[in-house]
Amino acid sequence: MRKTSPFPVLLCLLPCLLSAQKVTISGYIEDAGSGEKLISANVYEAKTGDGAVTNTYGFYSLTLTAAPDSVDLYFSYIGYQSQQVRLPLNRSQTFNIALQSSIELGTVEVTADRVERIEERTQMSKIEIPVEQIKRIPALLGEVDVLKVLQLMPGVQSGGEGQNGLYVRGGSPDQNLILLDGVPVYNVSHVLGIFSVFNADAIKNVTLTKGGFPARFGGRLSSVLEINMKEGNLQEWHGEGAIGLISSKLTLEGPIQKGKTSFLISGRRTYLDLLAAPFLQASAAPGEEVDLALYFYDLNAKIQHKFNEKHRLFLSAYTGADVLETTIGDETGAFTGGINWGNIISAARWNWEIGPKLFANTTLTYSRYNLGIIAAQELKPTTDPETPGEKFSAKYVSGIEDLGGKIDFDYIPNPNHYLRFGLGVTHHTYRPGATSIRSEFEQEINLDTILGTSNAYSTEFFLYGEDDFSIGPLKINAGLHASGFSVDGELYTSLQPRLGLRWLLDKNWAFKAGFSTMAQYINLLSSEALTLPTDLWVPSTARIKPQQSWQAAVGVARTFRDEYEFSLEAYYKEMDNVISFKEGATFLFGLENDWQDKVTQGKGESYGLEVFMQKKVGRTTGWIGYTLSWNWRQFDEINSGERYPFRYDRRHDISVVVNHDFTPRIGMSFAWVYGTGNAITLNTYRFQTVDRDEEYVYSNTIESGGKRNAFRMTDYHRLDFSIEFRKQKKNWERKWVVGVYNTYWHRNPYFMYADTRSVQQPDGSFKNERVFREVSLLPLIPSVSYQFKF
Amino acid sequence: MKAQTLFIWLGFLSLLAQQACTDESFSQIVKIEIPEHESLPTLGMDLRNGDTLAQIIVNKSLGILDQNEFAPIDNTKIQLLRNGALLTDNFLLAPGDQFFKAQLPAPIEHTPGVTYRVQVEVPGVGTAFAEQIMPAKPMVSAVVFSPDGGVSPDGERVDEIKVTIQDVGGEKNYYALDLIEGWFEIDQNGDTLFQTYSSYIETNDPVLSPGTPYALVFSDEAFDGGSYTARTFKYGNTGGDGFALVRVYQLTRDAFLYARSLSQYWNSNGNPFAEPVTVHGNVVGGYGAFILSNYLEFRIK
Repeated sequence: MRKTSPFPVLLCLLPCLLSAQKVTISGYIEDAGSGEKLISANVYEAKTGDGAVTNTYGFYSLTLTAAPDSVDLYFSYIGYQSQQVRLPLNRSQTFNIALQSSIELGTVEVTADRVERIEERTQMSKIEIPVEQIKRIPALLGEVDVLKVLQLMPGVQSGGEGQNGLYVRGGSPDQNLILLDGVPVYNVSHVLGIFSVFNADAIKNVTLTKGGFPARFGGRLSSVLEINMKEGNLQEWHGEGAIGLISSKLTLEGPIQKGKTSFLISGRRTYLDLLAAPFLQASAAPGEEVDLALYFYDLNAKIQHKFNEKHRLFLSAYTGADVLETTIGDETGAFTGGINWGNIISAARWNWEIGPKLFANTTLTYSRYNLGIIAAQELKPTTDPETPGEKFSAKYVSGIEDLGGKIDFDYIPNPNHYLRFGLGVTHHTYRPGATSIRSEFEQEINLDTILGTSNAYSTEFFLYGEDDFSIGPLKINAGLHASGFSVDGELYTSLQPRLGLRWLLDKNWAFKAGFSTMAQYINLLSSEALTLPTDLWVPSTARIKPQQSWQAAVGVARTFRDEYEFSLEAYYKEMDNVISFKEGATFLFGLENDWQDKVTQGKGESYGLEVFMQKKVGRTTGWIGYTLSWNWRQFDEINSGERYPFRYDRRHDISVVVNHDFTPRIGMSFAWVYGTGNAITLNTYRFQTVDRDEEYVYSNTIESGGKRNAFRMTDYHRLDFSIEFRKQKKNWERKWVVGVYNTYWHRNPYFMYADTRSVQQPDGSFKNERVFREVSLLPLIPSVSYQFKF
Repeated sequence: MKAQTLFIWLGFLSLLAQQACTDESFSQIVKIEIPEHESLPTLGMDLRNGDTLAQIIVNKSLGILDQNEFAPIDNTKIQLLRNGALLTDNFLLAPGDQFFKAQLPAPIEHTPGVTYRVQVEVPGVGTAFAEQIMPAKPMVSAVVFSPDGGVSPDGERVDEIKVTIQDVGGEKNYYALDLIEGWFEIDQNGDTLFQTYSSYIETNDPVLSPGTPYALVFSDEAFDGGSYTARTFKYGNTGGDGFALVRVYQLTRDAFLYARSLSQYWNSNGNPFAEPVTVHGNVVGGYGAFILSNYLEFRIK
């Protein structure tokens, strides 16, 4: 037997041994007005500079050397008034603190005396945007959209015009793990991808990690987007809402039992159907009834309960759907046709402060995405009124359902170590598309049957451990993520090492590097060009191998004049077993055959450079982002096996966002984006070939010769602008927001095709001319909304 | 803010919105630098056993933005060879026709392994050729027709046609199915005239896929060397008052790939969100396809 050295064991125990002479101050940092926990708030001790940052649940733990004297601790958070507190250092203790928002103090400027600077963080490739800033950015039709704001960040690209899919560092939208309160959201779109399902009024924070993934994250190749809902105000009742051109929304929150239990409920609904109903009925034929349902809605709800200082329980739920259904009826019968899709998401989360240095979060999650397409006809009896008439209905159903649980631990032995470890399991149920048919006919055979693919099941599990530790100016986050996936008797496993490091070059500059490997076991069958509700989530199978990637990134970061955060990052990413449709495949309405026959797997490669300069404080805030990137795909069965640019290979991508408050009552915002045109396949020649029906032959004109994505559409650019007029009333605040999307009306292309147009010649005759035509979706679109808060 | 200011804003924005909603606001013609296309000969011919007439379209390729229309080119030379020997070069072009046609000295035989080669010379463009080897006759063990024996995806009772094939193992084989419907009539001379047409048949079987100019095509990948029953269905009264035939083909690989890709091409044509399709070709020195098949017919009604 091998002799084991005691050194590693001692090394592990070292922090605990050292802690014998230490005391730990731990607790929660929260908003004084609402009791909301503040994420990534800062606490530090001035003399030694030792500090800590709150975790996702607002918990901090700071271990210091015991001393007979008291010590001054500084608590700070961006947009909040900092507080200095003197505490004795002779014993460990729990200390909770509430910070006052600068806005509630009546100041316009967003301030922060001392927050964790970008150069201090180990993690690179991470974006955090304050929700207040998200709400300021001009939005299409005034509908604030979290995902569209993220598209303005370097390394994150949009797909087609108006779409909210995120293409992160060369990945596709299905490679993003989107978590709402820790629960995966499978469909993030309303109205074919134009709006997202996230109602900004119900959101507390948004964090996107696009590389250098810590070990706690897994399951997708390209990014993790964490969105947390507000927890509800523990102190007093509040509400906010908006009335816009296409929708209205209302959020209410308040204490059920002051200081212990709170709730939040938030709803949003569009009302195009209500506006259109009178016009539809007026245009209907005499005796005809037309009923139209055309809307989407979102409903968020959350309850938190504080059992005591150590135990808190959170229950959150989201449900939302798009409904498009028409019923046309007259004296002979009625026809109903439509499509609806939506998510149901819920989570139960239990925070347990096991000790001053150990924190546990246990989460049970449920997520379901469903699509239904219905066609139903009911005919009244034509001959004998006693007969039941005829009924027929067909309903196509597809979707995915997850049931999962996980437990995460945070262990903070001293200011130089922050350990995280945990495990989780998720059971997936896939409904890849089934049609149920019911019919009752007067004379023919009756049917009640289900056709199509049966459900598929899989189980995904993971285990991770990571430590964020410091050695002098070097700060390292090292970890390991292990995952497995069981499907159809097949078991896939993956060990994914993760490493992130930060080296403080001097007081302000930091060098950062990150390396991560990732694995993804579920795939979205979707068109590269369009997000559709019919897109299907399917598992890796014995034929379709899990997607894998590795990514390395290096960069520098610093803060200038305490106001400007600057980062420069270069990255390289390789992806294996990425999925694409074979030539000619289209999934507009479900799958008539086995989906595995229609896809092919290949490789992806992306690399680039990202520059980001952000100003988070002051009367003027905003950012400038620039991305230079290359993005490739290679499939044996596509483009003759040759490597080709990904559709969203975008050489240059620039965004400029500025928010400025002229006075406390008037503010403006603008966002300008520029991107190299999307890659597109265009045929270069045409020829005639043969078709035949019996002895008759016909000619076919075929267009061909297009190398995959060898051409570019017109460059994309757009300026959005909005202006806010605020007024503080006695007990409430109101705001008018007037905005313009695509202010200078640039016709940004959505797709392109070869067209034939008729051109008048000088002699008055007409001649056909072949041209390329680009089609755009969204011209200049003005909006106005009325918002209120109390 | 004064109400007038707000109304001025709203009025201005409404005006802009109205202006934005014209046809040209949603599309524009763009100039794309397409590499200059060098024209090559193109040909298209579908030859089957039993054919007594060879029909071929021969032309030259055009650049995608070329304003010219396709038109047969004078003095085009066409030769059809059988195992290297000239079968015919007497291709004629009728006025207004696009296809060159030649009467064959004898119908195309079932004999497998015979090499057919078509070669063309297009004045001012160049020469090109394509070759095909006649596949074996398909081995069909059963063809079963069941009126109202199937159910369509939308729940309707439909006629079912099942074809059982015995595949030869150890080699790649390709098949196609067609349904031919028709009727016969007696003309004024007392002669019986057959009128036939290909009918549309569909399937729920994932092994089969649409393939033009046949109805459905499939390969033996899923059943190499075994027996396989392909299930298809048809809406409506199969055969009507006339007759119906099932035609079972064995295809060359090129014929299979061409048929499947041509069908995919038409399915995705005009759909900007579908993946692009390259139609399979087998012409050396040019574009297009020469395809060959060997079929058997079974009367089901």
